[in-house]
Parts: sequence; structure tokens; C-alpha cells
Amino acid sequence: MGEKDALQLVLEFPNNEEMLNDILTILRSKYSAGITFYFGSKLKAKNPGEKILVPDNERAIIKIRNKFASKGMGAE
Amino acid sequence: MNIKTANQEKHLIKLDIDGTSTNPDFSTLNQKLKGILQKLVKQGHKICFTTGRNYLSALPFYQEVGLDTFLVTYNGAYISNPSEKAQEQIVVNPMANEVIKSILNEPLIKQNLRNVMIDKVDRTTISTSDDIYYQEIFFNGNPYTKGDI
Repeated sequence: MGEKDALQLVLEFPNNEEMLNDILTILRSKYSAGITFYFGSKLKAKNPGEKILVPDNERAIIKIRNKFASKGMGAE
Repeated sequence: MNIKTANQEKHLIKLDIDGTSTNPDFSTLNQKLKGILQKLVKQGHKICFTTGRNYLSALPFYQEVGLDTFLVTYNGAYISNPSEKAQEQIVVNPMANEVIKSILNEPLIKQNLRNVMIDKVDRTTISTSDDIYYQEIFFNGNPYTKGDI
């Protein structure tokens, strides 16, 4: 996956609540000093071939960024 | 449309892109909103897109409205002013490559991971999937490298 530092890491998993909770616990307990993360549903096409996107309840996404990433920083 | 404000104060208006400024396809700008934003800019207000998208997939929305303010991308990990006048980086907060490798090597993550996408600090994108979610939200017509987990 290359050697350069990254601005964003996106991980996709099956939507299994127990497994996802365990992964989120690992991220919180081992990496919270350096990262912040967002957890939510992946999106999928509403109908095959369509461009309208709706939540895909079978897949979950975790987006990971630097701990200091903050949307509010733009205003500061 | 007549947009009235209570007084002559100028405001910084921050708004998200996905699900807020886009149509339900997540790839085209809501044209009614675009008109409102352009009117607000003419009135002297500052409009700022703040998004979790990467820089290159957010930039077309910024350019379509014709902004000259900051563009907050990766949820604030990369903030820049991409306007022709400024062309400057304001904030760059990457994650160390070692941290990413360590996360990807966590046994539970390794066992269950279906796809992974990484936006590198040099603006290159590596992804194991190119389905519609990644195409519309992250790639937005920009080049990417299809990789392996």
C-alpha cells in the first residue's frame, strides 16, 4: 500500500455488530493517541445501474484520519 | 430569489458536500443551492465547504460555485485555499505510514477487511474496490490505483 503518509484510510467490513464493536474497541484503545475515526454505512446504488445512492446495510465503513483532523479548523 | 439577512454583518457559512450540497447521486451539485450560495457570495458572505471527501473529489464543487475561500477536506486533515489567487495549503495533518500499517496488520481487521482505500499525502489514491460508492464519493473522475489488500 505504498510508503508515504496518508490523509485518510477507509476500511470496509461486513456489517457484523459484534465484530465491528471489537474493531472499534481496538482502534480506541490502541490508536486514539494518533487517530480519529468515523463509523457508518457504506452506500450502494438504489437500483442496479442507477446513480442514486442509498445506505448499504450489509457493509460498514470506518474512515480514519489524523487525530487533529477537525472540520472546525477551517473557521479557526 | 431574494435572500435577506437581519443586518449588514457578513458571515462565514460552512456546509458539508455529501447529502447536503449534492443531489441524491452524491456526484452533482444541487443547482438551487448553487444559486443561493452564489447570491450569498455576491452579498459579501464567505462560503466554505467542509467535507470528509478527499481534495480532488471536493474541488469540482468548490470551483462550480466559484469560491475563493478555504476548502476543508478529509474532515480537516487537509485545508487549503485552491482559488487561483491564493493556491495555498493551510493545514496538512497526515497519519504516519507506520500507524496505517499497524492498523491494517491488526489480526481482527486483517481477517474481516473486505476493501481498503488509502488517500496518500501526495494526493494519490489506492483502492481495492472501484464500485459505485468509491467512484462517486472518493474518485469523482480522478485517477486512482487499484491495489491489493
